Amino acid sequence: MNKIFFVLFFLSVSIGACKKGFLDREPYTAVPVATAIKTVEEMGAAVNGVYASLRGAGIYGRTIPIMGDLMADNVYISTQNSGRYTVQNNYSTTVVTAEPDGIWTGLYSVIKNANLIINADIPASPLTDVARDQFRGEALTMRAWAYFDLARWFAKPFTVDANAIGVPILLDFDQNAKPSRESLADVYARILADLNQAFSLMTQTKSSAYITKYVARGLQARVYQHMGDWSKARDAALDVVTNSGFTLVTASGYVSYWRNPAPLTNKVETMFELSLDAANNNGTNALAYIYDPAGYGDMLATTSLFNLHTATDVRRNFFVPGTRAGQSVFYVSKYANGNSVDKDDVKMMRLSEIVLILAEAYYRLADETNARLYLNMIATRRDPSFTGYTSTGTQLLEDILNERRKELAFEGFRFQDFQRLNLVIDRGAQAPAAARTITTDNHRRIQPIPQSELDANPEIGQNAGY
Amino acid sequence: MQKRRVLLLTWLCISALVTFAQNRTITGRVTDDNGVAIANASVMVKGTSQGVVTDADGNYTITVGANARSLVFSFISKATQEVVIGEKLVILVSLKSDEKTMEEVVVVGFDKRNRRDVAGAVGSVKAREIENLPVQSFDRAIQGKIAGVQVNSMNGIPGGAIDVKIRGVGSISAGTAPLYIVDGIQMNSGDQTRNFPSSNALAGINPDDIASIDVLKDPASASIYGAQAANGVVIITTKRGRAGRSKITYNTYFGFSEKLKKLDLLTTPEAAQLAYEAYLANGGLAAANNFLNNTLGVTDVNQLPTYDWQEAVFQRGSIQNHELSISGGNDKTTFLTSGSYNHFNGHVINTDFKRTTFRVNLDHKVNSRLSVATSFNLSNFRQRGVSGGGAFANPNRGGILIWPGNAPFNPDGSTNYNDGAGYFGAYNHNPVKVTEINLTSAINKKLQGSFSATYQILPELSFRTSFNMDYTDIKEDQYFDPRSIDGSSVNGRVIFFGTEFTDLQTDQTLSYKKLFAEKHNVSVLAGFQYRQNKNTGQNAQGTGVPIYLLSSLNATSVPVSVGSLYQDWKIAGMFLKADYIFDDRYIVGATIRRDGSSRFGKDNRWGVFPAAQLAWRISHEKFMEKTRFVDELKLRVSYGITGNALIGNYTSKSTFGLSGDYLGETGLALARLNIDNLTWEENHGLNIGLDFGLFGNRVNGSVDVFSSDRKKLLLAKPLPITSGFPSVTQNVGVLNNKGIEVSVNSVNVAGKNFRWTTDISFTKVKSEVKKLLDGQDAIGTAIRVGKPMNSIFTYKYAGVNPADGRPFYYDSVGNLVYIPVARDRYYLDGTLDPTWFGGFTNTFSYKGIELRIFFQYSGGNYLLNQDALFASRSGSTADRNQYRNQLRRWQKPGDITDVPKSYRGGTIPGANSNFFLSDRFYEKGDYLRLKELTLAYNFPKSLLGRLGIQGARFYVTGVNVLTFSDYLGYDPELVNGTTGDFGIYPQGRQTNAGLQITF
Repeated sequence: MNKIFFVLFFLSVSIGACKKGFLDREPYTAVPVATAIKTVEEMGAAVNGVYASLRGAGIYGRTIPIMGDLMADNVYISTQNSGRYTVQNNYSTTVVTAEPDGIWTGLYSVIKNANLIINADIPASPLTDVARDQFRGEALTMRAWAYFDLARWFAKPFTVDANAIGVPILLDFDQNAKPSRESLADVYARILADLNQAFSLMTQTKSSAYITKYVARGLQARVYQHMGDWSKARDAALDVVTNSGFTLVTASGYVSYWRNPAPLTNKVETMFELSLDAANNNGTNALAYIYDPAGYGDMLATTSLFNLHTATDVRRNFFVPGTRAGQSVFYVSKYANGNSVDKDDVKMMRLSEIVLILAEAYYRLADETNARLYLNMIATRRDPSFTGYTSTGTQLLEDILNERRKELAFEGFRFQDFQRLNLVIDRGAQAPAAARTITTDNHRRIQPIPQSELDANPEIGQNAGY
Repeated sequence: MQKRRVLLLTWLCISALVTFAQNRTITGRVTDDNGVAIANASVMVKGTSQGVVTDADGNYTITVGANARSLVFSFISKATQEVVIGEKLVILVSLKSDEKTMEEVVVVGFDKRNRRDVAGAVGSVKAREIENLPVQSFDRAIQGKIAGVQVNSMNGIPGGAIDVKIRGVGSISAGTAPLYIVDGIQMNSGDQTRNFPSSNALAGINPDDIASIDVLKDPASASIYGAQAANGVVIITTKRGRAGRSKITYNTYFGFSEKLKKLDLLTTPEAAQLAYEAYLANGGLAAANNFLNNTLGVTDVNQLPTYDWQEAVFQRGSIQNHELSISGGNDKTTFLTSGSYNHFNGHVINTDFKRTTFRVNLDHKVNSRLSVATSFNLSNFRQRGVSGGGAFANPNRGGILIWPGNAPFNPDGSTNYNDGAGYFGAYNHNPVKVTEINLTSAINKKLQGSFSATYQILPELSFRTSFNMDYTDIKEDQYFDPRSIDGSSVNGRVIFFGTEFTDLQTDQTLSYKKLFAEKHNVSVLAGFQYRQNKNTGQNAQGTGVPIYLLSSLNATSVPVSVGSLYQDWKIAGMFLKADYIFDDRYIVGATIRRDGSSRFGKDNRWGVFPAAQLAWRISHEKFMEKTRFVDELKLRVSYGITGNALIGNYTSKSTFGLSGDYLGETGLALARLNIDNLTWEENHGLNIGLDFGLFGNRVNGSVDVFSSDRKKLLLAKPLPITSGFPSVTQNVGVLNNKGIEVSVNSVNVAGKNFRWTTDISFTKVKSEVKKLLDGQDAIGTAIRVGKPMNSIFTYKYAGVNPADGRPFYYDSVGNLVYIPVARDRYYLDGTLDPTWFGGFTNTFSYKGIELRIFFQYSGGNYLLNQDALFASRSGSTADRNQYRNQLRRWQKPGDITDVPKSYRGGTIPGANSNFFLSDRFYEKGDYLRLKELTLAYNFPKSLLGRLGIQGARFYVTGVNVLTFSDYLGYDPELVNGTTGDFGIYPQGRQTNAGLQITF
């Protein structure tokens, strides 16, 4: 009997232990994908995760705004530098350059996480529908933003060739997909569809650190501007200016507005910014730190940009004369908290930009009166002594673009203006000798698809010239 | 006497299960053929586990029950003898040398076997080879003693981590550590601390509690441990009590630990001279004079004082060890209980290790069928360490690089607190001050316990159940005093880490053993094993203390961070092992294990690990009968597959994880991909071995050749980035390790009073990367298909151009170039890992005197001397000390030297930097070390008897006594990695004297 008892005990222990699921262990600080985003709270946490990733120094936290000024005529790198972004300064990008790889990787990671939110199946409930729709709208806007920048950095300008090869569109998470690139027209259509849906879904306004429906509308205006679809750009921009409730900051408040590192709830100027607070920021990789002479101080304002400013222009305060590597230079103090615990937030959209889009759209639509009206709305506000532009024709366009250059300096817009207008970039004598004039056929105006992507997915195909 | 009895009673009460028996008492003596007494021979009542051992004179006294029929006498390398008791009250026995073979018992998975019956590759170390050494963990003590087992200290930190590799580097990205099993308990090994520089989880076991260490080297032997066995299995058996008179042993040793050597560095005038030349070459006379007159404030370099920083950061550390162990028991119950205290004050200032251990091992027979056993080990050890690596506060770096003109002490002998601004150069922290006022400590509390019961269902069939636990609690405290440079900017920083491990295990085995017809020896073992491990932790950091004396976390004003940790894993397996021995000549064995681990993907969670072994004892064939000098000749062949589960706990799980907070709110993001097919790495190993015993087994040993294909190695396979993930881990790589192991033990002289034995181990191992990802031929430069693991790919230094002092290099076609390009690199003829290693011991004994001389050696590798990279700059950095060999720098055209011209900043125009990484900084790692020298005296029994003492041994031991090596750094024994020798706490030379008394 004993024998049988022990054998049975032994077998029962062995077999009982091997039940299905016996060895399933799940990590504590993470939840399995199958069970993720089943509730609105989880959706909210996932949206926070995407905001946090947008902040990354490889994308909007630094690289994208820096390249947007450095590769144009606003910023150059001191000979005394930390070695960052010198490839872009020299226009010597190759397939293994880190920054385009970082943008490509970072933005597709944003898209992956946004897709999971957008596709989350949250049952309808009168208690949570508003929050759910808001989160979904925020995620749609973030996905549109990512595709817009992928298209702008890795493909020809839409205004040059709307049917040019664009970037792969992924709307679902699929680790085995080997997608090929869609045409630019398809990519822009997707962006606009996302933004339309986002606009209709969102109803909440939290603070300037979160996306609202008018941020989606404003981004739409920016996208139409890049498409050269001026009537739609005008409609979208006008909607924002008229209906969003955002107001422009005054001249007297302008400097302190930029000194403030915290998000706003007063709807003044900032429509959307990425929060870098004391606990969560990019440290020495912050955008502010690379401008700060007490930080890296690598990035210097060009003399040509400085010279555009009148003595009474409030924006001239952001140019701080100094000496670096034996040269008289202008440091940039638009971001003043590079060495503070709470770093400057990254401004993603300000009302000024939308107003200037509106001015440009009216100009393109041959309504110069309204063009001057909105142009001067910015120009006279920044320079209280200035009575306003009275120019017409191409001079008016020139003035609008110059005003954009001044108003949006160091925020990463300038290079994309050259791209969408398909203009030669004259970077001036402060740029490296070999990279002072960037013609429109310079292949490095379009970033290379990273080599690692080509290795993993041969369907992609490299951009011309690399 | 009275006292001892009270003490004994106390211990017996503690071990509650003890009961007494009576009956007949038999006495006698055990001798060898020559009539020489055999001490420690085993005397057992046949058919029971009741027994005693003989004393130093070979005498024994045993009390036997009424139904005891015969006694069994046995001793290592002697033939076991059985004597019928009958009416005898005195039994004298003379044991003959074993004609069969070495009767050594080795522990294999879930079983013990005679060495002669083993068909796999099992290496063993016995207590006497490792006892009383001033080491903190047993893994350290087996270095050089078992062929195929490579032991390297990661550093000399008291209680610091040890790297053990069995038969080469077995993985590219997963773990390479073997599985450790102590008294049946599977141990968590490695470094369990999270902030302390280096700690060894196995340091909770007092090495002197260990009876034997057996290492299962070939996959066939290890395969019974399945998915945990790919890197080999180390089985530790602690000492247990024996029936008979209680034995009380007190052991103590004292000693000191010193630096191994002092590096030859510059004096301040010499360093200043090189710096002056650096400024002169790059900056001109004005800059050079400015440096001398203003920066250093003198007109002549010879006015500068020199301070010896190596003397400041090293000290003569002290060692103190006390152990008390009591063992004994009767025919039903045996026990061993021990306690120890070890205090090791390191040879680097303000570092130490303090350990207390308690052990209780208890065995009890409930009745003739049921027996139970428990083992408990409780330990507490505290380590105090110093900053490591490249930290400026690291004394092991500062000792080399601090500008020698900076004074570590004030003229009155007190520590110089005026570092920072008061010091010259980049290395401006005074490590003497820093280690005095800052704290880096870890306290480990460990409890290992096991309970087992064995039930003899039939004489040949038994069932064993055991439940084991390994529990660890670690508290790590770090404090940066506001007076230290590292703490001043935040006005003091306090960091805390708490970590707990709870590991629960159970084994259930059914064992069948039977000898049929005197010739057919069959044994079958079936079992189930389960293990679960939970790891939790907390950490917190705060800054800003009101005054430096308040160094606790709650004194900080700024909370910097808090964190927590939780992870767990489970593994379960079933196994079946069958062995058949025919006529003591043919041995056949097979094992199969099925294992499942929570770490692997759901499609591949369970795996099967088979193995087979064959051995032929040629010496026992008829045709060998005439070859009298051959006592043993056994050919062994084994092949098996084992798994490596040392990967992340959740690597296979697709998860949403924390992805950074946004405005104080938690953010989640898809953190990891699902890898349903992820599975263990495998070790497919073939072993062919030959055991031999010659001339009455006076020369015995074995030779093994092995080849292990490590397959399904985990590598990161790149994904299309558009998926949002850069890569996914897949089982794709293949690596082969092959080698030869030789171990020989020889009794060279065996006279009546004089005995000389020699034990030799030698290993040669060669690895080759066979396959990486499809289409991939290299990962970095260290892992390349067709090359050994950890290959070194670097530039070839050609010395200095005699014309102008610039360093130059050979390019790919052998031309001299100043600035080589990537393609000019070449593979060195060795890797970072030693390719040969081993040791040899000579033991001489004359009457009571014993001398043991143990040399250990290792080589075939290169060491990256990162410290030299900083200390061999021709003085060009002009703010730190340099190796004295830098005085060889090029000075004028025509100088033939290998040290470039001193040039401020280091980069002479038109050349690479003076300290550009090339083969110049990879030094040969070969060394021979007099690892242990022990001289012991066993006091004669005649002297001790009157004092009531059974035995007394006085000994003097030196560890790391002499090292023969060309290596320029402190210690050629280091685990290299890619960082190389970078501010590593070097090992020390220990000398201690001790006394071991047995009552």
